[in-house]
Amino acid sequence: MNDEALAFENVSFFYQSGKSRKQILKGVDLNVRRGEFVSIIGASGSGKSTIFRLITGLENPQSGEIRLAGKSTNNRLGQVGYMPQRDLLMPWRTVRENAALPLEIKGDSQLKKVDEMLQEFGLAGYEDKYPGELSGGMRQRVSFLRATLAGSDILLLDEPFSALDALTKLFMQEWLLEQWEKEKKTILFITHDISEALFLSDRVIVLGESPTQVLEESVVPLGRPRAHQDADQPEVLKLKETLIERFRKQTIL
Amino acid sequence: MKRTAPFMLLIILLCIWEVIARKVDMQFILPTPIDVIHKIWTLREVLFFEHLPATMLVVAIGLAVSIILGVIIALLMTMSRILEQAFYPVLIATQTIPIIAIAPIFVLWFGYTIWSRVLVTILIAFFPIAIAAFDGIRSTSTEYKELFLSMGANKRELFFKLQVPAAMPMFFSGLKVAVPMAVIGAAIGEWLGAQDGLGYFSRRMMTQFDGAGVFAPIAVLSIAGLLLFTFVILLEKYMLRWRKYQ
Repeated sequence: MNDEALAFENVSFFYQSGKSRKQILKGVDLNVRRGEFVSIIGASGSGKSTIFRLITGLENPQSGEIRLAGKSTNNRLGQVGYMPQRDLLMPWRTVRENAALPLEIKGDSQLKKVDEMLQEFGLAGYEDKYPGELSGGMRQRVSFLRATLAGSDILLLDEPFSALDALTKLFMQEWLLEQWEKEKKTILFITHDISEALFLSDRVIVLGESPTQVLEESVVPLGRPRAHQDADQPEVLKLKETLIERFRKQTIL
Repeated sequence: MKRTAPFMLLIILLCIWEVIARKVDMQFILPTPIDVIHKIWTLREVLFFEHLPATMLVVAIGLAVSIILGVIIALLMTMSRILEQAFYPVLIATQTIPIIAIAPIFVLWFGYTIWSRVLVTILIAFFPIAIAAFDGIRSTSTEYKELFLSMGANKRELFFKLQVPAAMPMFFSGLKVAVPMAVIGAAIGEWLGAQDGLGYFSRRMMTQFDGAGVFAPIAVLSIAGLLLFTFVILLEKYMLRWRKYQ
């Protein structure tokens, strides 16, 4: 129990628009331990984003319970670090000001902490630049730092690298793992890239078509720390094949 | 070259004007640019130390009130759908009022004080500011709002840390439209009823059939408007310095 970072218990959720109701989740259970790296893969419209909106507290389930660090609450806003798909940095704020935003909102004025973190995140020398002056990878670093400074143990990353070119993406993945091992955070990572999910995570959760009732999950057969070559090990490739087949069936259906 | 281009064009236009005016040779209705410049020089004391300050005071008060009023209206309109629907037609209606027709009534209300002119200025200048501020505040995308909410931001923080800065570029666009309009408004107000100001002075010269005297205050007014506009652009460049990296 003490080890639990995030839990869904029997969570059901639907969107209501007028008279039509779109059921997304139906009695779903999920458990994420502290310090775990879990990826969620699913086709678009499978409810990945809904799960994130539920965790951040932008939505609440119609039934069931969501627990953060063992505490069940319906007011989760401000408790989970969220890194959106597009970096969503404020163009009018410098890198430092962008990173400090969650601290400002919490009324925490430890700007010193921000500067230390900027150093650690490889952003030294960029503190006073505007987002418009940075490359895509750098912007994602700032966005990740901002999510980290939201102060919670749990980080939700929503396809953060999907807009980057292949090489930058690879380096950013390695960088992310490094940071994760240093910061000891719990990460939930949405992606539609199976290789990315396998390289990064301890567990991969697959979302089928909504409504989702059971989350299918696979444990990635790799230890830590990892290098990108590890993704070519036979067990990993086998799991990748299985997952691909799993999606193929779904798309044919 | 790029910097000198507008001056070159201005000089060419003035030359054409000079040539035509000399040909027409009716100084009282079409003075030449050189006549006008000469007039500005001879009337420099009255123009720059009496009437220009009077006009700029009207422009300054009018713009200040327009900004405050425009922003308040924009805020009310963003606050609720009902207020938006209530205000929009009224806003547009104010812009369909023929200023020339209504200004004399303001003079009846306020006499030859500064306030009738200020009111004309506000009536013209608040509109672009209100519309731009309104569109600006509404322009924040849901994604950003939800990001702020996920960080636990309250309405106040959402407004001051997200919506206001996001609205600034639009606001400045509105202000840039409002500045020349405020200058025009002040001049119209003075033209229709005042005892000082460049608009008033121009009209007085008209009654004396002094062509160059009509144009001289207008030229001064244009230059003042241009300088004011430049000031707003510089202010915008400074406040929105992040934009050059966009």
